[in-house]
Amino acid sequence: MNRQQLNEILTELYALDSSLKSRETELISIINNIIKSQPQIEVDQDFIARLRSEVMAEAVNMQTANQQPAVHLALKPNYMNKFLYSFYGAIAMVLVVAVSVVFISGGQKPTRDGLVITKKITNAPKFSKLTGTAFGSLAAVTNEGGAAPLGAGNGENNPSTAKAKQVSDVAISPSASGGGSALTARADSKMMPPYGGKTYKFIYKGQELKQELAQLDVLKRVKNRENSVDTKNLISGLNVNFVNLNTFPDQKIQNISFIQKGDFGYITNVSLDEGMISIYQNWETWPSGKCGNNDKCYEALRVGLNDMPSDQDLIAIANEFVSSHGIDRTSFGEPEVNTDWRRQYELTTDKANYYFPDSVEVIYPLKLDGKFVYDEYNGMRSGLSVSVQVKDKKVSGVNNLTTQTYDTSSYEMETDAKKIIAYAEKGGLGGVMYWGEDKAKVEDLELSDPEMVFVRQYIYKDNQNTELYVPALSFPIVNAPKEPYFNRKAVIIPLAKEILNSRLDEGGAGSPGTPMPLDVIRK
Amino acid sequence: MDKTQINLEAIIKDCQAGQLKDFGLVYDAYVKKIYAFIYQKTFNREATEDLTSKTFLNALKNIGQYDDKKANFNTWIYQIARHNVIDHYRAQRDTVDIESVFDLAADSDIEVDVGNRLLLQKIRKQLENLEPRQKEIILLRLWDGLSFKEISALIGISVGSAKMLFYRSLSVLRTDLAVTLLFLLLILNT
Repeated sequence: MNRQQLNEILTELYALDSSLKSRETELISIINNIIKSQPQIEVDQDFIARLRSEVMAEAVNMQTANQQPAVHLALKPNYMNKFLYSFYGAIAMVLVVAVSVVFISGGQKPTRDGLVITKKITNAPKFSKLTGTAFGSLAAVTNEGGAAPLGAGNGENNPSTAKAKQVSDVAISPSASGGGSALTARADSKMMPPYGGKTYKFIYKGQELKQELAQLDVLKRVKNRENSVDTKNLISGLNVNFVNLNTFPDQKIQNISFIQKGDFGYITNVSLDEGMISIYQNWETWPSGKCGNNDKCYEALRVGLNDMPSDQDLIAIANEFVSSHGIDRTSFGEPEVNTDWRRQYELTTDKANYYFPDSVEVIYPLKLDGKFVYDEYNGMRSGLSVSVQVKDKKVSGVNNLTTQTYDTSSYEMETDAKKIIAYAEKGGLGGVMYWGEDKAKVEDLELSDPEMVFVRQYIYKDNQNTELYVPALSFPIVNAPKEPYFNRKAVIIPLAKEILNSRLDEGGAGSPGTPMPLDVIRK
Repeated sequence: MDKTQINLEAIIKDCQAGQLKDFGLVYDAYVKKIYAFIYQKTFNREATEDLTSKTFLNALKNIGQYDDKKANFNTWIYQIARHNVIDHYRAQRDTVDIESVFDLAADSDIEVDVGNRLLLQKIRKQLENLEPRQKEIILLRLWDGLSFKEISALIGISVGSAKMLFYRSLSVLRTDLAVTLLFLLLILNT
């Protein structure tokens, strides 16, 4: 209690009994004793954040329940009105509730006074232990479908699986009214460093390394244990009279999209198969979407240095979006801004013509079993990706919002420290840029003490994409070179022996910057 | 929106009209106070988290019924929290006298956080000569910083009665202090 508040109380007392003024010292002592005995309460910040998400999720539900849902389906115009009419109201609401129940609360339904039991609606990681090597051989792990290397300031990380590719194609295709202006480099589009660039050699200079854990759990994300949405009734309710959709047995819902038509609208894509939700701009309703073919319009919207928000502001914008839309943050660490654009701007010699990104990525790093997940190429933390559009200071997309249920199974890990260091000095999963042994162009990069992390890997087999999280060591790069194209922060070494053998021993990983042989370039 | 200039009144009015997107700011403004208020009645972290959750969900669900002519928002949300605490104790005991809620937390058969049991007993000792209602008013004023107007609306008495009860509580505590000091003087002089 400050002096002003104390004076207020004393004034109130003197108004009742002016004789108390002569006993002011005594009164102050009594009041202070009571105040001092107030328990000092440390509020759990995780609880505060979790409850906020739950309250806002309920607020969104309440607000949605009071509004007419707008559902868009890509159909021939002749039938669109009838189809949309039959899809409004209760059917759409059943879909939304069904999806949210399957996705978010693991199938639990609202109870008790009609209120959702907030404690149970979280997306905290859940693990189920299976027998050893339950996911089969890890030798089939590839980098296809791996998180895309982050582009200059834009982070729309969509895994390029067969099914997710469909989703991400919808996300980035202008015809689907989605997508931003500066697209992230995909996993299969390797960024070429300039001809005649430097060769980097990694040298480990940390403390003596010991890795004695011969068996560790590999995690497999469970995308959707069972698609429990009752599609038969939903389809029956659609009242489509030009085809009987119920004549196709054993159907299930694979993807659902919702679109907002108002200013700064969004498209939300729910992939039930992948257990993933993506949110992106409804391009037509944002200012840049109204430029059409008008170059001057685009030029007017081009971003400059003064338009770039501070990291603090970017995080505030992302946080507000995440909490107001009930996106649960339980599985994620504190948000971080991808500051590659700033690094490249500071290193570029042609600042006048530097292309500032339209959007900047805020990453909420995924944390599993106490360890962060890292990108295998650039050694940065990866997780929930929120893109903030610079000009409008609004979130333009959310990616990697996934179910957090995992099966775990133990696999054999590499324990030979010398071998691990050798892999690290070869650049690990990100490889190394090699232009030859011209000593004038070789630069040593120091690697320091590693930390235990997870790295996401994929097995693509029989048209199915299995998403794994493999224990790994992250070796930070201490003296990163001052080249704009070098955006690696660490060298990542997965510890699973089968992966080391298949991806690193045979040189299968490749590097985003692996150059073509000089004799090919010179042809 | 500049968070340093949040106009809570305007936000609450919007929420009452069904525009709930900024309810999070109302939550931010009140969560720690409500948490502390409930903890000081239960001295149990788990119960406090449950009751805090329930308070904010109840506030959200019923915000359309909040009437600023009857009480300010501060009083309204504290009322919800207070009722939830009463319900919490009623689930454990058949009859609960609200003024005794504080004493209930100190009872040995009510679960409190281990580290705080001694503190609770110390506070109880300090205030043992006060009636339950006097205890509640003292703590609402000094711990929770509620005004007499808010206290009167919260517990259903007039502002004048609230002030008088507060004054009498301090008089009792003064007498206790005087007796203690006299006793000490006697001890020191013998």
